[in-house]
Amino acid sequence: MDKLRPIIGRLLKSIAIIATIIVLNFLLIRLAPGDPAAAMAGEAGAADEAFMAQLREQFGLDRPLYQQLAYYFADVVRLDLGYSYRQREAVVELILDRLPATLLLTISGFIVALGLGVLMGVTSAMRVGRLTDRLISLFALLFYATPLFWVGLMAIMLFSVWLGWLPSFGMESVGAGYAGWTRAADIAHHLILPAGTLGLFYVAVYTRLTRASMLEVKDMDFVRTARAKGLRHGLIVRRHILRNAMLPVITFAGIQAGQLVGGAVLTETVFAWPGIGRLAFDALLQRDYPVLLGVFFVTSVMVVVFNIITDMAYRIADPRIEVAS
Amino acid sequence: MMSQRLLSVENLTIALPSAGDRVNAVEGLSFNLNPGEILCIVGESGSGKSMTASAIMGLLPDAGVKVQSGRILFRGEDLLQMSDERFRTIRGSRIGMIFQEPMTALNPVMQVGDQIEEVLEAHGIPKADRPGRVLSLLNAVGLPEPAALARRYPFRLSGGQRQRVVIAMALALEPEILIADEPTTALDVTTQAQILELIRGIQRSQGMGVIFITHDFGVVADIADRVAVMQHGRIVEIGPAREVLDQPADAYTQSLIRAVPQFREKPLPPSPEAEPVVRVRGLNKTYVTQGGFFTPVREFKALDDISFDIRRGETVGLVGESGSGKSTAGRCLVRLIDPNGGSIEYKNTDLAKLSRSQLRPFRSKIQIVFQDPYASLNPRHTVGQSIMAGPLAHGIDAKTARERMNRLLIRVGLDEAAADRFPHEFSGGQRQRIGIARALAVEPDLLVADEAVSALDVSVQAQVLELLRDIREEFQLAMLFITHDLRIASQLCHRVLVLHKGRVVESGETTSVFRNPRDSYTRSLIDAVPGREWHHSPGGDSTTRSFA
Repeated sequence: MDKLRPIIGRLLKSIAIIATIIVLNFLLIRLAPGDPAAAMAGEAGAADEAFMAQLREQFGLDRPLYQQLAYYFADVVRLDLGYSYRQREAVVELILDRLPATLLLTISGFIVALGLGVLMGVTSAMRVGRLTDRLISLFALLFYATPLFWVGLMAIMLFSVWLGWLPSFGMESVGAGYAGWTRAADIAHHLILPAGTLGLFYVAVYTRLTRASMLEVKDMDFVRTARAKGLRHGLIVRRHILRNAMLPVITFAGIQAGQLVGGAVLTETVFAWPGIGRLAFDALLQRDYPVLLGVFFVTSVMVVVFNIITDMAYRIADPRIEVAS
Repeated sequence: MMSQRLLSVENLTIALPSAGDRVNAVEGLSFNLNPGEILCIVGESGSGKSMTASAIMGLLPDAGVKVQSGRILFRGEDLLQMSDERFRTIRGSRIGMIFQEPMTALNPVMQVGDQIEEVLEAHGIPKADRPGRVLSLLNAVGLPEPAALARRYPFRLSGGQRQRVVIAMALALEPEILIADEPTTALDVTTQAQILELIRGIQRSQGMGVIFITHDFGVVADIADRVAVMQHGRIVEIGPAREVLDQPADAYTQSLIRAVPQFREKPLPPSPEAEPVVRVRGLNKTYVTQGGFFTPVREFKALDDISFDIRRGETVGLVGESGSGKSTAGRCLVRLIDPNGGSIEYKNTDLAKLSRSQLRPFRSKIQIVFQDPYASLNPRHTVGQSIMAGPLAHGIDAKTARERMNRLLIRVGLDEAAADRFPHEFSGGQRQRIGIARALAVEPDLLVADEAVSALDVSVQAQVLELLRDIREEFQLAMLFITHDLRIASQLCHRVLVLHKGRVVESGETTSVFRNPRDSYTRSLIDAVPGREWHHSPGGDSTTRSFA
C-alpha cells in the first residue's frame, strides 16, 4: 500500500491533466477559422443555408457552448475522436492504424540511443583524456550538431544508393506478401536506417550526459569507500559509479520518452515511414482538423503515461525520492 | 623487533601535481605501528596527514599525486611494490579504513546491509554465511534492530549511525590495521564520545593496530598510545602520548596545544548595559510534514518556547547536539526561517510579526555568519562585491560602501587587495574573516554566529575567535553564538542556553552552568568533551586552564 500511494496520487493528477487537454482540444476547434458546418458543407460540396442549418442541428452546433463541450467530452471518453471527411475514416481507426508503426520506430530508436549512449558514455568516462575518450566525444559532438533529416538523407545515400545494403523507404517490401518471421525480418531490415537515424542524435545526448555524470560521481566519497573495501574495479564502476550516474540519464530519458509518439515527424517523412508523425503532418497540410486534434489528444495522453512510468523508474533507481515527494 | 612491527613507513615522499603551492604533500616520512597500539597523527589541514593515510590504503587520487620514493612495509611486505590484485585482497580485509564524512561515505542508492555484505563478497566469504555476519556486525557496532536497519538506505540514518555502518564495513573481516581519518570530526560531542568508545573497545578486544588521524588534541588525550605531529608534510615530533601532550618539545606542537580551547575558569565581566538589544519571548517553530490521502500529518517541534535577551556587548551561547534546534533558533532570529509563534522584540518592534517588505529596513540590524566558509560566499562574485552588496542594497552610496569595505577588510586581518579576488583564492580561515566583514558591512547591532568556527583548524579557530572577541568589544555588538563545542562557548560567551530537542534545559552564566550543571543533559554534554582528564598548563594563562 505504501508503495502504491504515490502512484495513485499521480494517476488522479493525470486524469485531471487529460481532462484539461480535452477541454483545450475543444476550444481549439472553436478557434479554428470558419464555421464547422461550413467546413463540412464544403467537404460535401453543397452549401445552401438550409443545408447548413440542417447540419448545425444534426451535429448539435446550435446548442449552447457548454452543452457542446459536454457532448465532445463524452465522445472522447468513449474514444470517439470524430470522423475525417477527407480520409473517409474514423479518426480512431486512422490513429490505431498508424500507432504501432510509430511506436516500433521510436521505441527502437530510444533503445538504440539509451543503450549505445550509456555504453559510450561509460567507456569514455573510464578512459577520460585518452584517445578512446576523444574519439567518442568527437563522434558525439558531430551527431549532436548535425540535423536529423540530413543524417537520414546521407544514410540513404550511403547504405541504400551506393552500397545497396538497406531499403531506403517504407516499413516493408511492397507486395512481397511475407508472413510470420519472414515478415518480421523484413520489417526489421526496413527499420535499421530510420531507427538508427532517429537514435543517433539521442546517442550523442546520452553519451555526453553519462560521461559527465560518471566523471562527477567517480570522485565521490562513497566510491573511495568502495575502493577501501577491496572491491574489484568492474564492480565499483557498475554498482557504485554507474548506478548513481544513471539518475540524470533517467530524467532525460523520461523527457525523451514523452516524445516517443510525436517526435518522429522528420524521420518518418524522410523514410516514408507510415506513422503518426506523417499522419499529423499530412493532416496539417490538408487542414484535416479532426485528425490533427485526435493526434494531439493521443500524443498528450502518451506524454502523461510516459511521465508516470519515468516517475516509477526514478523511484526504483533512487530510494530518496519517496521521502522528498 | 622487525617481526613485531605491523606497519612501517620508511622515508615516504608523495609528490603533488605541479600546480600546487608546494612540491611534496609528504616528505621523508617515517614511522612504525605496532600490533595493539593506537597511533594518532595530528596536524592541521594541508599537513599531509590524510594523504599519508590514503597512501597506506592505496587510495591516492589519480590526478598527478604519486609516491615519489620510500616504502610502506606491511608485515615486511612493501605495499607500494605489490600487484593491484594482491593489494586489493589486503584492502578491506587486513587493512580497514574509516572516513571523515559519514554523510557521503555511503552509496546513497544501496541498502546499508548490502554495502556491508560487499566487503564479505569481495574477500570470498561464502554467500550463505554473509547475511548472518552482516547482522552480527551491525550488532557489534551498537546499532539497534540490525535486521531492519540492514534494509534501510543511508539517508534514513543519522550521522552517528552512518559512521557506525562505515566502521562495521571496515571491521567486517577483523583487519590487523584500522586507519581512521578524522572519523569523529563531523559528529557532535556526544556522538563523538560514543564512536571513540566503540573504536577503543574493538581495538582492545581484537588487538588491532590503529592509525587515528585527527586535529583535536582532546581526542588524542583520550585514546592515543603514541602521537605523531605533522606540519607541512613532515613529522615534527613523535613519541608516547603523555610525553608529547605534557612536555611538547617542538615549538609547533606547543602552539597547537596552546590553541586547544579550554573551559574558562572565571566568568567574563558582565555587560554594563541593562537594556537588551533583542528580547526573544516564547519562540516556536514546528515543522509539519505534508499529509497525503493515507498518511497522518506529522509534527516536529524544532523550537519549543525559547526565550532570551541579548544586551549590547554581550555574547549569548546556544549549545546543544545536532538536531537540538540551535541553528533553527539562529535562523528564526535573522528571519531566514519564519517562526510559528513568539516575539522577537528589537527597539520596540516585534520582528516576528513583520512582513517581508516591512522587515527590509531591519535586515541590516541583525546579521549572520555561517558555518561553512566555502559555501556561504558566492563563488562568482569578488570578495569586494560580496561585502559591498549589503550596504548598497540599503541605500549607501558606492563611495562610502567602498571605503567601509576597505576599512573592514583591514579590520578583519586581510588587506585591501583582497577585494578584487575571488573566494576560492582564500583559505578557510580567511573566508570566514570575509564572512565576518560581510556581516559587519551593514553595521548590525546583533550578530548571529552559527557554528562560525566549527569547520576550522584549532590554530585558525583561535585566531577567528580572537577576532570575534575584538569586534565585540570595539563595536559593542550583541552576539548570539551557536556551537556544539562547549569549550569554545565557554571561551566567548557571557551566558549560555543549553538546548535539547528544541527546549532550553538550562541557562545562566557560562562558567557556573558548565561547572555545576543542574540538568543531566548538560552534564552528559560536558562529560563527552574530549580530553577532559588531560591536565595541563601551557603558557601559564590561568583563565584557560582545564578545571576537570
